[in-house]
Amino acid sequence: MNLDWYYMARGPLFKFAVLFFLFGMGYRLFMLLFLGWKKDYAPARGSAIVGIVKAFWHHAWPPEGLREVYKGRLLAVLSGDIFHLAAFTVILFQPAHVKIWGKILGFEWGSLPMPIVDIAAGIALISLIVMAIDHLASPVRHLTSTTMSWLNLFFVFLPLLTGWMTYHHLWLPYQTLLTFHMLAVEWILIWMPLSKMSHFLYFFVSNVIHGVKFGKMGTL
Amino acid sequence: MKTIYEELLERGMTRRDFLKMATVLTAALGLEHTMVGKVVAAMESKPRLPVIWLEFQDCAGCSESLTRSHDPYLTKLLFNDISVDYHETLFAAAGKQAEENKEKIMKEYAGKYVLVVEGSIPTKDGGVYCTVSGKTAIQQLKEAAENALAVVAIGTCGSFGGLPHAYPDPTGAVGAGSIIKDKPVVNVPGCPPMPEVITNTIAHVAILGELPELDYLGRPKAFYGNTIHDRCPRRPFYEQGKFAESWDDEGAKKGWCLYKLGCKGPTTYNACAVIKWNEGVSFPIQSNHPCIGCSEPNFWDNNHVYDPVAFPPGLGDAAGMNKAGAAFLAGGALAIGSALLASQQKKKAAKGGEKEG
Amino acid sequence: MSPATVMEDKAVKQFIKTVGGEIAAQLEACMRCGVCAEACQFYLTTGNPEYAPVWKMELLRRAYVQNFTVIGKVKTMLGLEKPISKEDIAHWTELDFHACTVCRRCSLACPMGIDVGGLISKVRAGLTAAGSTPPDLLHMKDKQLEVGSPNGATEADWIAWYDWAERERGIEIPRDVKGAETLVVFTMLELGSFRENLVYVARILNAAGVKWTVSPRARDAFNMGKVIGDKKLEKLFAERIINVAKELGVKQVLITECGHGYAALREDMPNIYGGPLPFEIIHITEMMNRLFKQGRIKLRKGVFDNGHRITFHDSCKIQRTGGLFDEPRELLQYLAPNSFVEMNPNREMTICCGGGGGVRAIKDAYDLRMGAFRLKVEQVEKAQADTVVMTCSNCRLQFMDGFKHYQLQKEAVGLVEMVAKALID
Ligand code: SF4
Ligand code: SF4
Ligand code: SF4
Ligand code: SF4
Repeated sequence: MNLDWYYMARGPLFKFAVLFFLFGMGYRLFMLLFLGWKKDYAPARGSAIVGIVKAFWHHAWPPEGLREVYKGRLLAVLSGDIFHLAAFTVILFQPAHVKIWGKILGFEWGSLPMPIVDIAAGIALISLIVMAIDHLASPVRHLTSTTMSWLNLFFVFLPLLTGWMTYHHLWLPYQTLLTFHMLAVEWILIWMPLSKMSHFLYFFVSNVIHGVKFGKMGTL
Repeated sequence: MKTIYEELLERGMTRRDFLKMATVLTAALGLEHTMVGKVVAAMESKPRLPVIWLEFQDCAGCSESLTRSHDPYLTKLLFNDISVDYHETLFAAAGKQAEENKEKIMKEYAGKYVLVVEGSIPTKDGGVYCTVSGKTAIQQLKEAAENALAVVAIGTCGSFGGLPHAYPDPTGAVGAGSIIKDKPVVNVPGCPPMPEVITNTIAHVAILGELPELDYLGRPKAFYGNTIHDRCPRRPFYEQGKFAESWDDEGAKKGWCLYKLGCKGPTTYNACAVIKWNEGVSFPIQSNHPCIGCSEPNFWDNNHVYDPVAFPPGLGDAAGMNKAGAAFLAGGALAIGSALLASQQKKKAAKGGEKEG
Repeated sequence: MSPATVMEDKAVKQFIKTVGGEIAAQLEACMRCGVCAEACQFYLTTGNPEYAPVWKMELLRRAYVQNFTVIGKVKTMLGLEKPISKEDIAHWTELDFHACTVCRRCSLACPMGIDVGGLISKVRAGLTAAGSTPPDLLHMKDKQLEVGSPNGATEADWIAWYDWAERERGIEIPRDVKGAETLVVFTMLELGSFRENLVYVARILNAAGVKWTVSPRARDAFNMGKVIGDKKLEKLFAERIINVAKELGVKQVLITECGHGYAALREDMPNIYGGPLPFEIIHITEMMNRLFKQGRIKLRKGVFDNGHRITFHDSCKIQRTGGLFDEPRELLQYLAPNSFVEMNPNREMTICCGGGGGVRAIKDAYDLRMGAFRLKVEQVEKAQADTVVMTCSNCRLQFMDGFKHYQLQKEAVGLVEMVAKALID
């Protein structure tokens, strides 16, 4: 392999990807903020704060009635939850990643032993495959899936796969693998503001809206 | 033409000494003991391949390294008895006399000598930044390489441009492989390379008359086939996530992994962790200093010596942070514009009805 | 422009004006995972993936993406996003009106916290703006506009009901009393089918000494504007009540056993006005509980412990999105401490009766709503209950239809009836 790609991926492309990501997410965030918000004048029966807490908590640890509902799509719910847990374990606790976060944020936290990170990456990869199966197996998911949702799965798969290969020095020289890994990450950074992968931002906004709304109604 | 064996006999060596030497050489070449026969056969049948050693933009550190070999016998053998006929630093001869000597060998052994290059070659401004007896390094190299059997580039400078190539690279320094395209070029990078690796590689080419197996950067796989990380004694700590966080913390004292202190071991292909320096005494990581990745191209520019290897260069710089903030706000500003447009659109849509959004 | 284009245009315009940060955030958050489908009675009982809540809000998503996002605009140009067509509007009219009761169970199920049901009602609004509302509902809307009640009951009919109570049951129904504390508003559904409720409510309020009144001008809490998603009409119908309440100077407006009429007044009107109403909107369930706790009505403890098992159905508008979970249960626990059992799931995860949101009024949706009711039957049977108590007349009618359809000897009763029967005078 030519090392030029290695330098490109670590240098200019990385910078571009980060700036593009921030630009795109800035666009999305401000668009959301300035699109107009209604005040709710209906008299409150319950507390919005309690609602917000419960909204996040219920969706993380569903109460009995909700669990019944989730049972119907166990594959989707579990693969989704497990994927996020595993992927964030890797993103936040892999030693190299920890250092990168530390450099960006100015403070650091402890990293996890590599075997654990390794297992987490494996789990994340498997849960992505399960999600793909679910795309085909569930009639509803099949109806709602688009080219974009398949691309999303694929593009998330890549950095995990290449990262995992890099750690194991699989088949190719370390630099080559690291280059692939960096390129995959950079592509995700670019792809994120352009696609549903920006849902991480809206997840919080949406659940806060949910909590406020149903909290005030007294539902939660 | 005389074979190596014949030349050695002429110099007064006995058959018995010769076989002993062949055994030592076999081991030094990293070959199995059963290969002694092959080495003997090669020396008995192949002619001596003289070595010409050129230096360009270098610090002579690689040659220095050579003199610290923990097998001086081999070095002596290689340089005095077998091969090196021209070396600018090590030879007593200088100036015109030396140049003539070199040209004589090149003529006499056309197509049968090995060219060793130490130091990088400047390409900017017609290559004026390094001239030897009135010729630019490029000219010197091209002339010397023309009739060479193979080129062995020693050190990261000779291989990839090395330190002179580091930003801002005022001389446009490159490695031998960037100039010589029609000859096999073996790279022996390192800043400096390990003496054993230098002698071995030269011996391999000069004695066996063939190139060792090379990796994608033209480095002998025997020495550059694994990363430092692959063979690092601290690797178990890396796996357990036990890292020294500063130079004198508990972790550093206990010999934990130096990854977080900037160790480039994971991306560095070299043999330090196995052969070690100074007669096998130690190597940087063992002495509590991270590997700086000296055998990799561009190691000086890749990122800061004490930044972890995964850091993209310039990560977290104040300038970069400002740019990041600016990008975010630029996106935001554009969004506010779009939102204003959207609200116009909403007003238009709501014309006649009341606004809801 | 052809009339067809005008039609889609109207829908899209309605969608555009409805989109704000709140809706955008929710549409963007949706991962199209389809988990919400598992909450929806219509999907669960038919297996039709098009009945997945996420799919029912698809039109709104398309309008949003195509008009508010750069990527959506690019995609539309590339043909990856299809503009909303006439066929789409017809198709989604069936999906969103026939196969959705806007029960918002899906809203609670969505892991991203999206108020799917709420967004479906926005789609309904768009469809209505495009003139594509099921004819049965349009007819009811016209009737409410013309004579005051969706079923065609006129002011004279209502007065006749009041008179009947006074004549036959000997209980006074005070009308348009200035200075009364409480304006009581029934619905035509309730009085059309359960006329005794008029008497029950009167007895409860009298027992508590509440100074109450009805008004023939503010007679029906039903609100077809809310059902079909027409804000202007919703306001018009709600104001029939609000204006009278203001004129009479009451402190509270009491909505009897009707869910969406209560929600229209309590949740929607303050937002349409942009400020709180000058009086309290209270549901009869909360009222009874309050009076009971204040000791203003006395009930016979355990009076319904008579060997029958009683269960409670949480209605979508009163319990799930009204928050009145404990109020009815406290009363039931007092009236039938030994025979009251819960169905599962209950409270905010209750399964809708299948008849709300106008579905019960659409004749063509009969099979769908009876299919959906199967879930309710399973719940009731699992709880081994003979009587199902509830606080919404629409639910109650659906239960009665359903029990008949499935030939079950079970009873659907209103909580008002039980409380009134347990009164100690
Ligand atoms: S000290 Fe360096 S080479 Fe050794 S294990 Fe740690 S990172 Fe790898
Ligand atoms: S340990 Fe690393 S930096 Fe040090 S000499 Fe070896 S390769 Fe070069
Ligand atoms: S459950 Fe929520 S995120 Fe998933 S498809 Fe339904 S609305 Fe979208
Ligand atoms: S609101 Fe109720 S009926 Fe409508 S889609 Fe959601 S769960 Fe189904």
